[in-house]
Amino acid sequence: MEIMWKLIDVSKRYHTGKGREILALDRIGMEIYKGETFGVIGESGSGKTTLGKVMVGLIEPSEGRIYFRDRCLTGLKGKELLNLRKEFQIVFQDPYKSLNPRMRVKDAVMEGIRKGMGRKEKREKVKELLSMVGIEPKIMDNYPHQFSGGERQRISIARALSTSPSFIVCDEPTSNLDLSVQAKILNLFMELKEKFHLTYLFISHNIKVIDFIADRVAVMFKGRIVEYGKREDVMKHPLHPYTEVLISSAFFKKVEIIEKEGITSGCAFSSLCPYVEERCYIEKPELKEVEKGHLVACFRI
Amino acid sequence: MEEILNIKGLEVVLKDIRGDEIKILHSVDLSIKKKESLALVGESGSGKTITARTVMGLLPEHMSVKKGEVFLCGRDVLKVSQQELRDIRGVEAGFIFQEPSSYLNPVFTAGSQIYEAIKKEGLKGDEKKAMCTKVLKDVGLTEDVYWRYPHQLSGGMQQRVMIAMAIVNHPFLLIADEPTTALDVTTAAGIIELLKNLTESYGLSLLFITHDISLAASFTDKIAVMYAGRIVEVSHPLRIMGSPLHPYTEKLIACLPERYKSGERIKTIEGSVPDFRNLPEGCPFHPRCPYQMDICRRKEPPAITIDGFTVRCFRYGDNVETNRCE
Amino acid sequence: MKVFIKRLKKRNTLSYISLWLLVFLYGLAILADLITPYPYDLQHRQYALCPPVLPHIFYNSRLVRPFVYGIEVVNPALKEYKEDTSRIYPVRFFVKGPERKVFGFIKTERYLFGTEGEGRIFLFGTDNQGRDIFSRVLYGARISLSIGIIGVSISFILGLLIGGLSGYFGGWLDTFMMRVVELIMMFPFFYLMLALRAVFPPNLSSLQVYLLIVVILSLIGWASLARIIRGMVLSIREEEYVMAARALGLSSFRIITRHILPNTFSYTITAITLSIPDYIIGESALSLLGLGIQEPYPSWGNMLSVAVGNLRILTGAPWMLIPGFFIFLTVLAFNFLGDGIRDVTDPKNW
Repeated sequence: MEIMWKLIDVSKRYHTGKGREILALDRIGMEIYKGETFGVIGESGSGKTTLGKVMVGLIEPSEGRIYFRDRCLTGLKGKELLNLRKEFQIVFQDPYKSLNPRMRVKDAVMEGIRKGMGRKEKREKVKELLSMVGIEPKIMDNYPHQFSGGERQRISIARALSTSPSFIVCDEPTSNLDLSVQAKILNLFMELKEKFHLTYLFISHNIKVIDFIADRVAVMFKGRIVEYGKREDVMKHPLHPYTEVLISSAFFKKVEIIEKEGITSGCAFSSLCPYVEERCYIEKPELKEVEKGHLVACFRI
Repeated sequence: MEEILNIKGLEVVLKDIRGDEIKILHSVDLSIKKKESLALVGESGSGKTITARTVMGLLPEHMSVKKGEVFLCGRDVLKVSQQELRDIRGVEAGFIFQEPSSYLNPVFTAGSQIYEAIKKEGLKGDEKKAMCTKVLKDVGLTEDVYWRYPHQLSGGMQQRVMIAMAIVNHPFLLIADEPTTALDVTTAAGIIELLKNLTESYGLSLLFITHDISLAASFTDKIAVMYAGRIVEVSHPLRIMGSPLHPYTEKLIACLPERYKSGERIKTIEGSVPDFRNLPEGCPFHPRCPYQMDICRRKEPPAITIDGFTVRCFRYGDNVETNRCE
Repeated sequence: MKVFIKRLKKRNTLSYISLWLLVFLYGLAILADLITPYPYDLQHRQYALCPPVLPHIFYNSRLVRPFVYGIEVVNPALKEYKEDTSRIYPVRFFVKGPERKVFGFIKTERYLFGTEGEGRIFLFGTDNQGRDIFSRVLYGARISLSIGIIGVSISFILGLLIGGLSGYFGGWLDTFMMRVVELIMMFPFFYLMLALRAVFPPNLSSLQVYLLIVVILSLIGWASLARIIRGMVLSIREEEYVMAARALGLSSFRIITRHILPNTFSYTITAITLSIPDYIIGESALSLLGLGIQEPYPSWGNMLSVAVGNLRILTGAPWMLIPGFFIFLTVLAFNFLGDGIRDVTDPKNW
């Protein structure tokens, strides 16, 4: 399997005013293969959105190296970066905020189309893109506020496709949509993936969606990947206590979490873990391969 | 058993810029018994939030009740005076909303806000404080939360504070409008657990509004499904998830990703939710319904009760299919 | 543009009326040479402080061609006048008179209206030097109205540029520019204006004075606009559609001009139309204090300065305050126009 993305020790720090530091990403290491849908599950504060933005170059990592098709992206600037940017695109969560309210939909989709095409050709391409996502081309002169949430999300997807990318980060693209609309958008993502041979990083807090759409999965907690592997392995045989908690909550089974206060230098989950030991408060566990392709960061295993 | 909440034939209209009246709720009927929890489920535009707001007496200015009655503990809240309504709020019914941070005043401590919510007369300061401490414990928070400000609390804790404010006067009914939608999955689970316990320990009835039908099915006693301003089905959770009566419910459940294997395409509902200004003739769901019949295009189906469940669909009733068994 | 005007008419009638009122006023200013019966500096010494001489259209209850009566000087010392009904001068349109240069170079001998011979038509009366106020108001409009537009344009461009770049790029550029802005804003506008004017020699040609005033006003005015735009840019920069534009690989220039700045327009356009009056009043204030446009050139401000300083004139010849009324009218019109523009440019109303 061809490796498309390789992340090594990628971290992102934010300095808050009080002299404290927030580690949004804590030494992330992972790989994404060409043609797969890589799912990222996490709750708020897990760093999953930061991860997506770091990969498409919207946020600079504080440390670490990122390789796209064997090319090191970190430190790349200027024209080279701008050109490479077209290879990977992003679709955001909030359909009401991801389109410029003052721009006609056709212009929003047209912006990313390669230069070197005449205006007429570009218009044709826009029509093509819009019909591919299920929007009638004849309403492309309208403004975003004239469309529903689901339609706006489709337009954002068309915009992402306008640069003919090979990789798309889908950052909670269906979390703000109704169930019936979500179903259609998920189907659309799968169709487009087949049609254009895309690779996805699909971020969501909804386990059921990830369980449905992802090939491989990473579970994130407070900036770290705590479990990582093939979807069936992680979902059916979760190894990390946090993954267990997530899956139980998602399927409405009772879950015991006792929250203990205090900041530890050890495992980030130690304050909530039902199996916590002494060691967990002091050391940070690293990702270890337990079964083939299934890694977990926990001292219990 | 006595009914805590009984909504009969509720019709709510909206007055638009041109002065036209548009119906947004069409003859809604709902009832909740003591200690019963009912989930009102629907997608955006279904009318579930408007229904809840009507019961609270918090309809926005341009909307008003055209017809119908809302009996809370035997009293029609649509006909009471503003003062009586204020007395009812918090005492007979408590409310919690989706974004706890928007509904908690950031400049007052959590404790003082619960304190302010106490309506019982003739209590001394420390008696009230004792009530606050007790209710904090009942919602799973420690005593020190009393002195904390909202921004010092996590989302889940803020929601518990809101619940505390809503139940401190021991109301009969708790109306929860999407209380877990803005919370993390693990935090939400805790809140749901809490609500379940409170129905027992406080003898509360619960009206739970949500768009998440599987969440509703996981813990409530009854589910009412709304579409285009109408209640199209009221049924038991297991039945709804297993063999739903109304076509919309059936197609909605088919949209749940967990029902599919990886790589399968989800069976979606054709078309989209109609704009309430342009509802189709007859049954509002018929253009998207795989079972549509001629009568569906012409008339609106009345609510029929089968085995204690309600459904609005011409497939059921005297002339059509037989009742389905469990 | 046409669509814009139509929309304005539909949404906000007051604003629509204001638009045309302003067009009318600016039209008068531009065409002053062709409209006024007299040049701005022609003194009719014998008719100083004469009240308005308005045309009559009825004579013996019959509708006739407009005419004015002669002016009888009752008391030259006390400047009292009376209509002399014995002398009648018809008002002629496209009347011939002394040669004038339109826009400074086109020669003409005809103007819109006037009288012949001894007749005088002082629609707004005369000032203490006997000059026709109506004519001076129209010529004065040129100064007062143009200073607003030109001054605001310069401020606007400076403000957008500096605010936009500061907000988008941040860093040391931002810190430095904002300190400069704060420095400027720290001084009370009025005193700063006076101080700047006083730095320059008092005897400058009128053109130089005019340019100086415009420059002073815009150099002070851009600061608050820049600061507010910077704030807006900071928040717009974090919007998802801007991030999407960055992800598309668009250049910073394009992102700033196409995505960020247009979304500041709802504020900036309103701010501009509302600050034009400030500039007009600023110029008037300077002229009022004798630091602005000098005699004999009229501006609404310096016309008021004569009236305001002298109580006798104020009570005895109130028509000298008419320029003030025009300032009031213009400021009001710009305010209403600004409201309307803000409503119309909000895309949610499209």
